[in-house]
Amino acid sequence: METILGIDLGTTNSAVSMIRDGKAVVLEEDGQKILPSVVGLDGSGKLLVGFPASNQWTLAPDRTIRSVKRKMGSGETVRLGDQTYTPQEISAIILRTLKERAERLLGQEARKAVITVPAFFNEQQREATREAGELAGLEVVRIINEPTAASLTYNPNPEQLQRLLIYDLGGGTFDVSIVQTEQGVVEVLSSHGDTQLGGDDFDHLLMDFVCDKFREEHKLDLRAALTSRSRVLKAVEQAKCRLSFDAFTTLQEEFIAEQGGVPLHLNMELSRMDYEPLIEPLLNKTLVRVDEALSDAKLTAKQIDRVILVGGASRTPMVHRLLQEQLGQPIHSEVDPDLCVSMGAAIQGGLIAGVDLGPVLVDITPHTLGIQCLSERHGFPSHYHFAPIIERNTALPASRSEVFGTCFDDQEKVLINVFQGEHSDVRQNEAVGGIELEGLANAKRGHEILVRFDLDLDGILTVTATEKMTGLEKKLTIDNVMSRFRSEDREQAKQRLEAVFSGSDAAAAAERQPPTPEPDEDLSPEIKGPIDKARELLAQAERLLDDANQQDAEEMQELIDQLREAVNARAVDDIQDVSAKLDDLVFYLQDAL
Amino acid sequence: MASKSKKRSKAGQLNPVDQVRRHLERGDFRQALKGARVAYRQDPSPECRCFLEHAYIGRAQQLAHNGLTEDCRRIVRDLLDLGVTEPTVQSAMPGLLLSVGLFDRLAERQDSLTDRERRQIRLQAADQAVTKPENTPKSMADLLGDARRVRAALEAVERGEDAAAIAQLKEIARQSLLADWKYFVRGLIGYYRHDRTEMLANWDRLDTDRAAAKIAAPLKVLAGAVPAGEDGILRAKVARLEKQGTSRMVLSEMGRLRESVHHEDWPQALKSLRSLRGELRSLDPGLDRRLVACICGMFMHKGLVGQVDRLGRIADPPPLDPRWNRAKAIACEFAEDDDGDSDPEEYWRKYLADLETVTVLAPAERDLARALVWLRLAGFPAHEAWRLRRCPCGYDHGPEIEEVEEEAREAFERSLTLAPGHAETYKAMARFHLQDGRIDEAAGVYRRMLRHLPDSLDALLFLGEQHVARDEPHKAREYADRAQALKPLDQDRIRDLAYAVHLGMARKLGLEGDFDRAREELAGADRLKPAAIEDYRVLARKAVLEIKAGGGLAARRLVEQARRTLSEPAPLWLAMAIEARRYELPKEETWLYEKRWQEALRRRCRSETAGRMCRLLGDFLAMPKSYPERAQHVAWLRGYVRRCTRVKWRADDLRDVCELLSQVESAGVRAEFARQGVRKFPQMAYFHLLAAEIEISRGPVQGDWQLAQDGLEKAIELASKSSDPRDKKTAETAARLLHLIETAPEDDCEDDWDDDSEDDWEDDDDDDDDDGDEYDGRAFDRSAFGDDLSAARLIEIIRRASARAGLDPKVIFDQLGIGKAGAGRARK
Amino acid sequence: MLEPHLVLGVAPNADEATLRRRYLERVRENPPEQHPQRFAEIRAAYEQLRDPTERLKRQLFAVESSESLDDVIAELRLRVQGTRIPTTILFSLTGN
Repeated sequence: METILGIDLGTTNSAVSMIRDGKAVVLEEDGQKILPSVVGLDGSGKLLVGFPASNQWTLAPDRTIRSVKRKMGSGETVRLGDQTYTPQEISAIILRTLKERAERLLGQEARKAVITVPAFFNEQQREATREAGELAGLEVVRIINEPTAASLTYNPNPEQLQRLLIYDLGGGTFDVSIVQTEQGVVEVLSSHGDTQLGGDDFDHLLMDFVCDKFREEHKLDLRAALTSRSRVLKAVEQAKCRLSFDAFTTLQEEFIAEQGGVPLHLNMELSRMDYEPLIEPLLNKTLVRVDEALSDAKLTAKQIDRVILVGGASRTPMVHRLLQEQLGQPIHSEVDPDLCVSMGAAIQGGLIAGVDLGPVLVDITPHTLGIQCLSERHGFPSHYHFAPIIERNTALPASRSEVFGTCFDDQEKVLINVFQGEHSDVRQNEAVGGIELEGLANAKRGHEILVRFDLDLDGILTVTATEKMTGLEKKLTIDNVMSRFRSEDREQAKQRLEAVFSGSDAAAAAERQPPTPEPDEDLSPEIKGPIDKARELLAQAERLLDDANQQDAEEMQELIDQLREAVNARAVDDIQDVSAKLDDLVFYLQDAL
Repeated sequence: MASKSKKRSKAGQLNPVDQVRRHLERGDFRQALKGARVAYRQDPSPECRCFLEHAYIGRAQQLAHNGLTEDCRRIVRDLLDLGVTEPTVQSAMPGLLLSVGLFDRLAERQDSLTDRERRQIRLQAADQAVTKPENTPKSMADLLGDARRVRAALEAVERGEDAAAIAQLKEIARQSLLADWKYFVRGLIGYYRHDRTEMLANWDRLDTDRAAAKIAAPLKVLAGAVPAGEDGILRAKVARLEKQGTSRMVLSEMGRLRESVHHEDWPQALKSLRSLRGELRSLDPGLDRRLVACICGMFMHKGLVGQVDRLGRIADPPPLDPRWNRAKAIACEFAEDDDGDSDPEEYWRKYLADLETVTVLAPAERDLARALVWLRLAGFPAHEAWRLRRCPCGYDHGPEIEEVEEEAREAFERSLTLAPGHAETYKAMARFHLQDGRIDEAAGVYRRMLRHLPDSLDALLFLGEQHVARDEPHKAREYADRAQALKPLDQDRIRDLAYAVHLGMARKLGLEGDFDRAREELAGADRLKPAAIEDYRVLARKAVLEIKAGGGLAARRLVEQARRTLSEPAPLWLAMAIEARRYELPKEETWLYEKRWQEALRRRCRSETAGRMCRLLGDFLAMPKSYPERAQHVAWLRGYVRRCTRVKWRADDLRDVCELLSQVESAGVRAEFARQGVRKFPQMAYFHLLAAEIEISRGPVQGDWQLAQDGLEKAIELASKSSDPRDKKTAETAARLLHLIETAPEDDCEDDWDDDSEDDWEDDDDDDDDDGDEYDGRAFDRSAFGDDLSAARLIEIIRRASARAGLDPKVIFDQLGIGKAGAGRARK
Repeated sequence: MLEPHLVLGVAPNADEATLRRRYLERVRENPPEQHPQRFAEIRAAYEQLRDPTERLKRQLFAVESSESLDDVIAELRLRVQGTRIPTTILFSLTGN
């Protein structure tokens, strides 16, 4: 059975896991399980990923990119050296590094992966993540929510019903999910979150605190210069981690700046008392989300059996304290908060592959999906009304339909604009696509149009609009509508990525143990498509060959030979011609039963 | 042949040739053949011969099709004896010969056939080898092997052994003439399994001229994959199949039913339903039930009580509604006209009796069901009470109100007795009391609710807030704590309650002289302080507590600290004065701060100071029991604000000033401020609303309601774009007011007159003549408003209009600034 | 569409615990990953049944039936289509 990797693509750190002997294991290399989500170029333009990149960041912040996850799906680009990249491309470099790590350990090619995202990522952000996976040469078989993944690492067969609250505070995002496990079924009841709140924000607050203090003393702002800024940021980051264990810590950075030819050192004592008031407002925001998640799940705090912390930033003692105080619960963190997400992703991969690992997962959609329509708002007709079709926290896969009506007599077409969000005004929500149903029958206003939403496990939405009277129908599948690239752009991006990778340590390592040989070098897309299809067809035909009666077998063998020849000759017309014939025969011989 | 139509006898009588032609056209080949034979005998012209040949072949095909092979053979032999000259007849011959097994005659003709014809004959023979193997000529015996496999496969499918069928087909090579049938069988399996894709993928590959395609065509129609269209033969086949499956044409009948429903032709729909039911029931009783439920639902939704009744006569009642009373009750609720026989209450009461006998419900469920119906029943008198209390007609509805309220109470009680754990009942009952301000009774309901449902957040919050409002913070605390424990995380309403409890307790303890604990309470309040509360107010409160405790120095330090947060001290003195009153400081102390405040008020007006003071006092105005001298403070503040007409306003300050004024006065300087607000801050929805309100309150004659309408529309537009949370309410109020002025002029209280006829009313008017000051319905009816519209009249107009619009008039009164109801924070 | 209690395979008035147990069993047999369609049906049925008060309220006060006339027709079509037709009848359709 093919291995499906589980990848936690984090803001600060990433990790990759897989199923071995029915258990999820995190893959480690050189004694490191995590890979910092940092990408950089060294002085000679060589690509650095992970710890090396992270280490050079303070020295060369202009050649180093961190926390790219926060930009996913935003349409922004980042600069690295003299080139600009999309966030997808940078993420793809991290993913590819993880993929290659897995391949080295596995000794064979790893093509498929489950990648995790914050539960509160919207369609665009999910799509960007999927794209990153594809650029890295991975088939992304599923995008799953991080807290859900974490919940899968817990015992799915408790003695009795167990309700977990998963508080996932990562480097850049915050999620909370309420999960219920009983008799081997893990059901997500609700999810809430904030995709722009995480440990990075704590670092910046602490940095501002330190820099302000420094300025008071030396009349110099350390944030002004890129290098001193990144040194302070790195220093406070480490100090923050130390404060998780100690009540006090000291910041020491020598020669951090110069003033009138005199070198200045940073030497400052920090205490938890300084730090905690800084982050309290942010943590209070997370508590509001926790409450919303509880409300959505129709539960009160005392009905939660376990509180589980996930994500590096959840190590902050104040998080424990606040949650414990507010929920009146002991807080659990026995599973490594940095690793359980990727392990859960690997378990999900196993479930998809059909490995029996125990739990059956029932996940939900955290956002409401609906369409724009005309309705009364504040007693006024407004055409910005948001009509929900699939409400948030609906179990996946989900199909729902609603009947709408035309607004005028003899209306010829209706426009169906799809939005995602919780606001009753579509302008406050996220647009995800639209279709036009044209050529409606002549009818009075209120002529019925049925709009059906099918949301599958991958979060791919199919919208079907049907004119009820005539059955006139139009479909839209929203999975790549928001895609930032067209396919040719994607090709280009892949090539660019290839160029960056060649000459890097990672690529060199990959060469030492190449994955299965790829004979197809550089075919143009016009010919590559038919050839790929022909190969698939040939494989199918060969499988049928043994079972076919003699006459059919002979005919098929002949066609197979012809097609092989055509493929080898790269004769597109012939390929297509013979393919069609062979396809017919394959259909004839292939029984649906 | 068209040219021959001229050969027609006079007086409409057709000559024999034309008659033959008519018969041929109608497909009556027997008569055609008979006539053609006679005609040919009389006149052996080429024309007659042509008709005769066509008649022969037509008749032969007909006989072959009807399985009368012997008769057919005879006709074919006669035809061959005659000799075939017509090309179309010639080409039809080989197939015909094959199908009746005249292989020798076929062989005779072999040589004259084209390759194409030969191939067609072989294909036909192949099909025939499946359908009628006995008719296969020996020369084509090679077909029989595969044909047998096809037959076996078809028989396996008939038995439901699909896998066996597929296995049978394995040996049929694609080159075989019977490969077509492999597609057919696989498509047929797809058809039975409702696998449309599989069905069409196979059947779309069928040779359309061959037998299999002809069988597939009606099946495709039946599966709904293609429309039947106008093809008569195809339709006949579909009908035949449909009868095969169901013995009657249920699908077509269902189609007719849908048509009648579409045209709302109810008698026809019911007729179709009646004729369908037996068939459906024999197919699956569930289908019958579902169809009836469908139709019944439609009747209910359209309010067609009579149709429900008619449906009841031809259909079995749903298990849950043995006498259709539930359906009728709901239909009545939906019925538009209020005619006599659509009284939902009556049917619901009957249904209550029905429920006693319903067996599909477990006993506990039955009680819950009855409780739910009682709750439904309570809604009618509760609404009636609400309406009567607001009826503007001027009569004393007292006794009626008492009666319906009693009725509502009883229904609620019944519901609660049956299902004491049903939260909705308590909430509805509390709403019933609150709609007319019976706060104590509502509190009683919530207390009962807590006995059965101790974790009801609504009840905890309501009771907590009530105790805060009554200045009983110690009692509120229990509820606040319970609410907090239930939903420990940040939740605005719980936080506000806990905050209010802390403040209330601090004051209470301060008055009792327990200063340490009072300080603790204030510290507790600090942690929950809403962001909008400014620091000087907190400090002022602490300072007053310290003065009370005798700590002059500490107090002075706090006052100093508070002063530093303000540019002008006036708001602080007001805060000190208010808290001094509330903490009952010695008079000298209180007067000191009031004096300082009054002095500060003499200074030039400033936007910031005016806004602060209005916010501060506004908060105390919202409390029912804040302190006795409040009115005096309001009066002084109004004096200050009145001088503020030439101030450089900040938008928020002006808004706060206006909001305070709206609570205490109906006209005056507010109008000036509204004008300024609209001019200076045209982007703020609130000022447009305010200006419109003032315009409306001047009445439809003096006020420019058109202007008001424009203002309201603008307000709604701006408010819906605004990010200020207060603007949600702005939009709602504006929308309600707009509704009000749009409906008010036409409003004539007709509904109210309908109950007692107009004559009655006139009689009453003669009887007692004391409603001169009261609302004069008639004047209002005919001439709209008088010039001097009194406030009382306006209130009545609004009451009626809002009642009609289903709105709570209090909301509008609040916003209009007239008839200010003693609002409590508890009101939802 | 089958009635919800038939989808789950419980008695029409099954209690909450039975319902829950049966739902979990059915979900384990039909995980969303492997049988998305069947899972969706099970879940929909469970959601309709799980809150007895809500269920009763719907039964008592729901106005329109959960399905339209078209749904019944579609179902009927399936029934008609499901009946296996004798081969001889099929052969009788070959003529014009």
